[in-house]
Amino acid sequence: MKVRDCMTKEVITVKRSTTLSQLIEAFQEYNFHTLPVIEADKRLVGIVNFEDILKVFQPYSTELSTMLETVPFLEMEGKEEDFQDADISEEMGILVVVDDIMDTHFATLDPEIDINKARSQMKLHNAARLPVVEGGKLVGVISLFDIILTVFRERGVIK
Amino acid sequence: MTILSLGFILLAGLLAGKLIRQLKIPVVTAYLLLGVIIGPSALNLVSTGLLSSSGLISNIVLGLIAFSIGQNFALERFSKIGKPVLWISSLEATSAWLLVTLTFWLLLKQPFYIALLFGAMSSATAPAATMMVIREYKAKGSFTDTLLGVVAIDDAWCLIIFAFSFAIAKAMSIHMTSNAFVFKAMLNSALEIGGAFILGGVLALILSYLSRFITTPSDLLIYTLGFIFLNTGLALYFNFSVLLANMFMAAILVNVHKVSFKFFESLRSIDSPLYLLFFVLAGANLEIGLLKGLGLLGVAYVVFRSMGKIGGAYLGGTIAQVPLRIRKYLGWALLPQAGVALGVALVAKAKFPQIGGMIFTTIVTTTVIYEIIGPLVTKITLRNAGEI
Repeated sequence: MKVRDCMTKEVITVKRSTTLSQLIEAFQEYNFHTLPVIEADKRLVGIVNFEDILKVFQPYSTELSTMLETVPFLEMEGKEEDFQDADISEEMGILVVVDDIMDTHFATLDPEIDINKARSQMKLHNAARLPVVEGGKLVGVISLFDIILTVFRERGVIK
Repeated sequence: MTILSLGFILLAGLLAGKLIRQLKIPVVTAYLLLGVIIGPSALNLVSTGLLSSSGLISNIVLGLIAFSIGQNFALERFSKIGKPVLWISSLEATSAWLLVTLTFWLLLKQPFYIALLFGAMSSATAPAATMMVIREYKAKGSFTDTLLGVVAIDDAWCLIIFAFSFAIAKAMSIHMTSNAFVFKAMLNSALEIGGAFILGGVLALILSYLSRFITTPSDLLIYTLGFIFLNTGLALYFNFSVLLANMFMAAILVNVHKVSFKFFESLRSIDSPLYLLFFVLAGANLEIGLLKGLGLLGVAYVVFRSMGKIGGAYLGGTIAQVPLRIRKYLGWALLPQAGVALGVALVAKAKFPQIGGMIFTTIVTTTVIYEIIGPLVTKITLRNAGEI
């Protein structure tokens, strides 16, 4: 069985310009931990995880943060977010957009690959859900639950 | 005894790190001081077996560091680094290198290859210390952004400068009495550097190609570590630069492999204890007896390294046309020195045992000084720049 047969084709997505408030509402409403970020032509340009919201606590840009990830010994100094004294203003909800916090390094799956391989890719990338991409464009999303549903339905465990 | 020492170091290091955080001093300093205290110069609690593996551990850690830093050479990422960051970082690193090298060679009358090694080590900074101050005081603004960009890529410059200087220093020390001294020294250096590029490049392509057979996170960690060790081991065997071989392996990997980030992420789960061990052993390697003979060398190193950083940052800032407050103060915020300088000093110590003690003692001592004074200076600088 292929990924194409199990994936969810109706995908909740956000845009680069989606504001922080809209993003939080989307997370609340759909209860997904990650959302794909697409352009108008459906090209997948990033992934936003609800943990990415914590980046607003950083005193520097996401681009800088990506560069700093390569620096040795930084994690040893600890980097707990200061929720209590965080410098958060009301305007942040509209001033911060998905483009500021999204992750541009992400794994994707080809719709033609076998679901066993998709599962091992999920494990490898420690991801509960992976976007499915064909020709650079988002065509679906697949999660472990999608695979379980399809397999169980096929075996008649569920209707 | 070695395993007992290991357990003791990890737990004592953890405790020392927690305690020193209360004093707003980088945790790296705690590990270093712990090493000095439990090392042979003081309490002598570290087993000789573990102490003699310092070279092995520093090679492993430096291999990991060089591999991690190599990610910055992804074309799409590198092109995003702004002109100010590139100019300032390259000039503050090379200015410190040149100034310290020339001072040690011409003023302190040290052999050129020793002066070159000191110069190369002086180009490193301590991003962790800088970051600690920025987080602590929630600094924000264009000065902070430029500073972070500079410290993020500064260690890459240091590793490149050190790799070239180390190759030349080794070749010079070997062929010093030979007739065609300059020619042989240049040839050896070119082989060491060129070989590292070829080795790193070839292994990156193999790593990328075979990774399709890796299906679990634990396999991925083993696979990535295996390639770093293979690269490091082959580089050591063929006398190529370990630093450049690993940096280049990562640089090629990020440009040819679509999901290369997974290799780098997998290493994060194991690097902390290795780094802790590396710093404690670095401290334990300090020969306290050499401290008294250090006076002039240590002072010259601190003064000229600082001048190089401050002057180089000013020059870079002028070329990149950044505002005066950035040009004026940025170099001051780059004074902290730590991990990478220690790592390369350990490599130099292992390769040049007769002068290694002097090199290493200078770097450990100045690191402690810089790590205590540096964050304070960074804080004052951020205040002067109007960002805290």
